[in-house]
Amino acid sequence: MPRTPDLELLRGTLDLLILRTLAWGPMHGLAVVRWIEDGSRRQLQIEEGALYPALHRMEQKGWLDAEWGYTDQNRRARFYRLTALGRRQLTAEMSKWQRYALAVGHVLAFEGNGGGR
Amino acid sequence: MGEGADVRREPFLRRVFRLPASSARLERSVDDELRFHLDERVREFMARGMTRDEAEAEARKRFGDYDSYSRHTRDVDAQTMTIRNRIELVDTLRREVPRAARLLARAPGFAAIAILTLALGIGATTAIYSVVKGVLLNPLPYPNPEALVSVMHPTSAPGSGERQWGLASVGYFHFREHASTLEALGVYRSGMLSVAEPGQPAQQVRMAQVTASLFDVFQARPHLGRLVTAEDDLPGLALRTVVLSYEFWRHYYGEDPDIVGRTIQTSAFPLEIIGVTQPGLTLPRPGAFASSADLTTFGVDLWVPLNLDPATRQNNHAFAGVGRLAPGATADAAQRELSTMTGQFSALFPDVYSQRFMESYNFRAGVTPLHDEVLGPTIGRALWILFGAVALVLVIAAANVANLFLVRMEARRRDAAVRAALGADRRHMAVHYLSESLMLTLAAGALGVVLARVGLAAMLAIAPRNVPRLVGVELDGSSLLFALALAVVAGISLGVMPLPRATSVDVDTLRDGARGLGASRRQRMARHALVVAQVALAMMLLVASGLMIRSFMHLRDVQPGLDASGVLTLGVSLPYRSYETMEQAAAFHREFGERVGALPGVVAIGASGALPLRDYGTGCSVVFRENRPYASGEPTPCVHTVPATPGFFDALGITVRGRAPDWGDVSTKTQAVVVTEVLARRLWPGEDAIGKGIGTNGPDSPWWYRVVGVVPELRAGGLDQPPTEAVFLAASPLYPAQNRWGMLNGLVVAVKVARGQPDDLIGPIRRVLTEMDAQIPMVNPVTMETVVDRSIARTSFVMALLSIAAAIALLLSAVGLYGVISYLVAQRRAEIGVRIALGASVSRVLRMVMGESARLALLGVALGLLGAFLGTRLLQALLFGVSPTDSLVLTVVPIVLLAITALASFLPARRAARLDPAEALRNS
Repeated sequence: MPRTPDLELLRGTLDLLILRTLAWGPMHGLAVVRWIEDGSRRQLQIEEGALYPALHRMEQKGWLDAEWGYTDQNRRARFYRLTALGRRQLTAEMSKWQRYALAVGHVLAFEGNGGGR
Repeated sequence: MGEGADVRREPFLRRVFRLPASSARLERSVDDELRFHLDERVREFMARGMTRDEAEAEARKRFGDYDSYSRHTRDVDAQTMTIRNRIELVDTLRREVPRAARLLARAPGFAAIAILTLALGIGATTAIYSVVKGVLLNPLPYPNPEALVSVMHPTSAPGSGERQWGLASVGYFHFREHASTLEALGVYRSGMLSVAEPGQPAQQVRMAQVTASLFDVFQARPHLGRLVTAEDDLPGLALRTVVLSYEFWRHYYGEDPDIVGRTIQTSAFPLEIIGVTQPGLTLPRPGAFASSADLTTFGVDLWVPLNLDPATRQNNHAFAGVGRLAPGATADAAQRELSTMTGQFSALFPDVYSQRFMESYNFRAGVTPLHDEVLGPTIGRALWILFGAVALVLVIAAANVANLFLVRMEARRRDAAVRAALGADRRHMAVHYLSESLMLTLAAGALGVVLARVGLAAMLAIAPRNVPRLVGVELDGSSLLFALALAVVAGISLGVMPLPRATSVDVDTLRDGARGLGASRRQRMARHALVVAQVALAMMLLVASGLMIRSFMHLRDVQPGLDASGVLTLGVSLPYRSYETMEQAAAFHREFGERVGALPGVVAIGASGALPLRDYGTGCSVVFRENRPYASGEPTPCVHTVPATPGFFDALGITVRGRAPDWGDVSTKTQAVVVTEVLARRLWPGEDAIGKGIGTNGPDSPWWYRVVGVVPELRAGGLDQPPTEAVFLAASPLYPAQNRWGMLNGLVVAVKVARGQPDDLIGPIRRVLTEMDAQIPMVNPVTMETVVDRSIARTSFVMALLSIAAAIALLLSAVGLYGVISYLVAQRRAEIGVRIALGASVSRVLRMVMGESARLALLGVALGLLGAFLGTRLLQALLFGVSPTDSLVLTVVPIVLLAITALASFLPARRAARLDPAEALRNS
């Protein structure tokens, strides 16, 4: 049995995850979901449907290209591919995220002067 | 284009502009994508050992709210589509607009002709639109103007025709008290007054005497002080107070803020200034006895209380009435109520309104929406006819340009087909054609506005003075919008014209060179239809202008009974303070006449209370016969009674049978008067009027004028009116009370010169006037010939504009026909070449080509005749002495039109006949 995911996705991180996932190559929506599941060791909980408005919005912004194609099982699916613009966006978002995570980590590890005045 | 089969079923507009693909298609695509996700998941879970139901439940649970997500996704897609379309459109515009500009620059002749032609049409239409809007469409300048009604008394009596009388004070008070359909009712009369502040030259100003209630009707506000209140308007307070108009306050007093409480010196009395009106307040039209010449909006300088006394019971209908309808009441309801009330007048006020009076004058109440009353019946019609005429010119111009476009398109069919075959999509083609046509039509619109401005100025200069509200007409924002709208509509129509064909890949065009015959035939039909329509419209305009020209000529031929040549007229207004009696005024005019008569070149001078062809308005007074009271049932004549000083008939060249009174008559008070022949015949049928007694003071009066002369014929009311019934009164009082009526204080002087320009006398006469009395202003000097011209200005104005419209239409249709025939010849070069090679003679080729043109022209003329037959009825009211189906006009116009179209086709026909067959065949 798969472990039940227990981490809710932080706002704004879905785009980053999608971009990062698609950096590996063109995929359809479900493949993106699976990739994120596997990559997060099944700890991240996404409502799968939420992926699609996000994908289409990123397509609108020109980060992704989409076209209909066929899966290995010869089923018709819509495949997304990172564009050059999307790749730049990924780099930017990743560095932002890393700075963010680092900063949060610093705060959490911070001991200061023992509090009080 | 893979989706061609789909696309062809879409409606035209969507096809042209490629509106977003149907939302159904977007929906389907999103649905497929989400469905795939769910199906895949189900398959995956079942592979892991779940039952189908379990797998489906799990997949749905993980997916979340399907409907909501799919809706969000679709929304994003729709938005994407809009953004993409916009970007693509901008791209296309950026590419196609310069391309279209380049192409146009390469065809400057085409562009110039198209722009000029359309600019003519747009300019003419915009100019007339501005007039129509300013005069007809703009509301009256009062709050809630639709509730305002004019309240008058229409009468009709045999001989004097239909006349509009004003209200009398009896009726005014009765209506104001008892009419439930009127919330407020006010009356006024208008006139001139001179203002003479110490140390300043006398100045003629416009005065309105009004009831306090009139300001309630207008819902007017004071700018300073107060407007006329009910207390100011009480009887017995006459000529004490005055309200200045805002404009008068500005230019005469320089906006002096402390003006209220001061007095103003007028020729009659000093008046206390009690307030200043809001800006722009004016009367909708002059008072009830206004002349036909100035039925325009009456600007007011001074507002003076009328101080009507309810106790006064006079049957003098001197006051124009304006009412404001009670909430919910209509003009029709008010008409019914006031008609009923008027019907009771002889029962209620038997001393004022006898039953016989009511019947013989067919005396009734008339309530009409003020807007209609101000405009009158014919002006609206005349303006709409002119608007229709210029709209036809615009259509003809547009047809010409459409023709040019069709020809140009034909020439570029191959180019278009290549572009389409190379994958230029509909959008590019549409943008291309639209940018080309809109560039042309917007340029034409801009030029049209310039033309409209020039044309409007010229039009206002020749427009009749009696068109109300013409003063404020200008090319305003709405005119510009109108021109812009015309340009855009024309641009879009011309731009989409080539689209349906150019957008489908026309393989035929590519295959057999430049001759895809199917489309070409359709285009030829279209071109021919345009030319036929042009000729037909030109025909209608020519007939209309022909009828107006005939009317004008008939009017010019009418003998008014006076000689206008070499006559200068000017108003002389004597202040009441220094010229209190008729004797004093008459003495002034006698001396003035002697002094002016001594000026070089002057052969006659005289003065009268009204100038023929200008001042003979709707007012009248009842006259009586000496020793012969009217039998019951015999209509009482109500005629013009106009004072005239000796010399007046000579100065205006009016023939008098018998004799005209001289200064001896005036000084010895012989009461000698002159009547017109029509009145003489009515009063004393079969007898000589000379020697008879006539009076204005009731049937039993002891005082009578004595008729010494008869004017055989005088049309003072207008050249298109029947001869005038008038009495020219003596310049001395008939009975003591009359002496103080001021009958001679405002006269028009006519001066006849033997040679030279009558205008040259203005300076010398002004000097004479100043020498005699510096307090007397000289009012509106104008030659009698100008007065005559202005009296038929409505006819000449409509004639001039219709003729200009018709001339432009004729020119444009000739050009259109020339273009079509030229094109026809060019297209059939090869065929004509073969015919010539086979021995066809020059005349045969000429006949063939011109026959083609004649067929189109004849068809156009026939349709135009039909249209003219139906359309010129509208002109009826404006015609004079000619019927809408005048045979001369209906014969001459088609002949002229056919001759000109023959001429237009002759040039290309001759070109065809001179073709060198060898060259024609080689080049084809």
